[in-house]
Amino acid sequence: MALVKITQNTPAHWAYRAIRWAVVAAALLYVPWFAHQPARIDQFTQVAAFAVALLGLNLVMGFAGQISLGHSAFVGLGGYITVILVAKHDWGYLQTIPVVIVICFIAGCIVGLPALRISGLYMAVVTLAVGAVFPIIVLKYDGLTGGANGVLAKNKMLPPSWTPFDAHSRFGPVAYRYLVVLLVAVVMFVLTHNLVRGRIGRAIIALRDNSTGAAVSGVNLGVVRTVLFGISAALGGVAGTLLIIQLPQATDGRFGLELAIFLVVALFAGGTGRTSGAVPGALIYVFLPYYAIEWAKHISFLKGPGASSVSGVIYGVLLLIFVFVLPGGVVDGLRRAWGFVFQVIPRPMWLMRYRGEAPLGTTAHGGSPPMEVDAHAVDAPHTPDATGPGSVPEHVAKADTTDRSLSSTTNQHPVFEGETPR
Amino acid sequence: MSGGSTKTQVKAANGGLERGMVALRNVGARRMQTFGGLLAVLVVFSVWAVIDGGSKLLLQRTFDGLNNGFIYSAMALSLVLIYRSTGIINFAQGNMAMFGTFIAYVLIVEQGLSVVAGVIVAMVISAIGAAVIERLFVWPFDPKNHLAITIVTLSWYLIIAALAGIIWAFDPRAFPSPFPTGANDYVSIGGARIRYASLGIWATVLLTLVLVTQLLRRTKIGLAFRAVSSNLDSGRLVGIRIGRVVQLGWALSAAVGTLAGCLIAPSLLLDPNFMSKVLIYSFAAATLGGLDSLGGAVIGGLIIGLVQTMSGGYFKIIGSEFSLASALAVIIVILLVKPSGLFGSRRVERV
Repeated sequence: MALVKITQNTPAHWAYRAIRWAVVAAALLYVPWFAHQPARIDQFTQVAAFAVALLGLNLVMGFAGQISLGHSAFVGLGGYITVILVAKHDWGYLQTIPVVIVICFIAGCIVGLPALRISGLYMAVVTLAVGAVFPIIVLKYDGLTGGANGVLAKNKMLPPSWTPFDAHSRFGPVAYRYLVVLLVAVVMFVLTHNLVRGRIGRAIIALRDNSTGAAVSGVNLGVVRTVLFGISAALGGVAGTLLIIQLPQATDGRFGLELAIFLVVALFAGGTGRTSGAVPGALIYVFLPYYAIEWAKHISFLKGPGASSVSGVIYGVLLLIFVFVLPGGVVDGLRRAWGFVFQVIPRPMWLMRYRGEAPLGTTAHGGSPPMEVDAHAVDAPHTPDATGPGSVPEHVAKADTTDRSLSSTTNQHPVFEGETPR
Repeated sequence: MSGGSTKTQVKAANGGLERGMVALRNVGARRMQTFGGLLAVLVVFSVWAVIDGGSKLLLQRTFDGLNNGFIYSAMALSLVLIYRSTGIINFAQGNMAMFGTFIAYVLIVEQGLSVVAGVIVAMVISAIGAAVIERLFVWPFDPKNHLAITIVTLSWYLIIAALAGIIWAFDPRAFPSPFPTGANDYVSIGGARIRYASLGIWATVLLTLVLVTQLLRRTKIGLAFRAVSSNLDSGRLVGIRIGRVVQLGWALSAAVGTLAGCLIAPSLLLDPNFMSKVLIYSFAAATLGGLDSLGGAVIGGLIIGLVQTMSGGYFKIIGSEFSLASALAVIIVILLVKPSGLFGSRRVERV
């Protein structure tokens, strides 16, 4: 089906992976030059920051199947901690990240505690309460948070002298901030990816798909649920810090309930249940309203106060299109489209070991591995002398595809955990 | 011989009766415990409140609280109707109600209909609109695919809010009240005033509750509705047309929502955001009462309204800004004790 086929764990596959990562890294690093204006670079900084927030939200919604409408509160908490420490206590921006992580983790665990007893839509209302109350708390304790005026840190993050960025140019500080935010975001992505791929991630997914089954298999439901909220909140807090690095001003309106709802929308558009879904989600979140308003300026009847509302209509319609056409979000669509061009034929390490093949695919008489094989060739033994103890029964060979199919089917449609009223 | 057997039969029957009574009493006792607890809290609070500010102030605040509470009840009622038919929380409910209220506004102020007629026509229009939305955007999905349907409601939340912003812009407008609102239109009870407008709101909401309950209890489509909300698959198996019933739920819900919007609009000002705060309180009310109980929604709304007014009025630390927080804190506490609300049916999971 696909135009190009590559067998897993062959040099060609390694090269493909290396090239893919190199392209991604190059694209990310090239952004400041591509963007060409400071304001545009700032937008990409926002994208990186919101991607981290979506990453955290995805843990709760995509991987645990629990709608959370309170994530703006964690983003806001992180943002306020950073801006207060920077503005009033002269901390460095990045130094605040550990504090933010610890405090937001604890706050998230506290919010997650009710999840031990409350589930489904009832829990969604509890998170909604958190999101709705946060701005009120901010306004109430105006001694610390500045109330409606917010907190403004006067010392923006500037590139130190050892970097090649000029602190006094128009581009230097903006590009430097982009790279710093990008670095933190990448670290968060790698950590989360590892978490999700590991034992804890399996436990979370098991809990979503069948909580009883998970409990029977030895997953401690209480600990996993609570800690999951904590981790998700910590990621949200880091996103808040990154947003403050981009624009060192915190107000209650910046972290209101609106943000929580739009984060949910952006996550669905990007794709739930995959760590990579956060990136297209954040791109949509930042750029869609911007271009919608630009576009609305050219249409006569939309001029005036209603123009800013156009982005709402476009958001909503886009979301409807996604639900109907692309329920897995942008990421899923891209994966499927890419699947027509490129296919990696699974040949995992354990299977090779079972067949007695060397990792490079070299067989007993040193023949090079087939670079292009079709799916049936994988099932069949490669060489005549690979039979005997090395040959694999048909059903075992079939099983090597389960790893892929599992991750693509179970992750696409997170099931709301226990909310069937009927 | 025969006398003996009758005796044993009677004895057995008596034993069965007794066991039944004990079981009944136990059920009652569990309910009583919950409500006894609530009642005790209420009594202690009202004694304290009377000492703190006098009985007149307490009565006045109770009436104000009930006034808000009935509005939340009406919105919660519309949320519960959709929850029972579709199994989701309709996030667009507040904005649907807002849009319906704007339609009523256009009919009354710009087209010159009488207030009552305008509200009724707006209710019908929004019911039709919701039925269309249901058929085009909810019906295509598997009714058990709650996630997709929830996202559909989220997208309608955005679209309706934005459309209202484009059409009517954001300047607040006064909405005419269907009830007399003159300076002297009130009854006085123990020195506290209840305005006729408030009485009208209470009566309207209670009447709506009765009408909706009777519709579900007495009519055939109501029976179908209850069957669908209690078990979708069995409902389908006995030949109920699920789509029809769900559509009815959406239409009813939109009509009730528009009514709630029109009831509250005179005391707030009408603008595209005016339902957002009400919606949060009604989410809380519906959750508190148990998402699938109509009566629970009304009682939940009243509790939320009272808690909001009392906590804001009596506790200086909380103040009026924190009344939302205190109301939400109450739900969290109640949900921790009863995870599916005060009157919600408890789910039993089969493994």
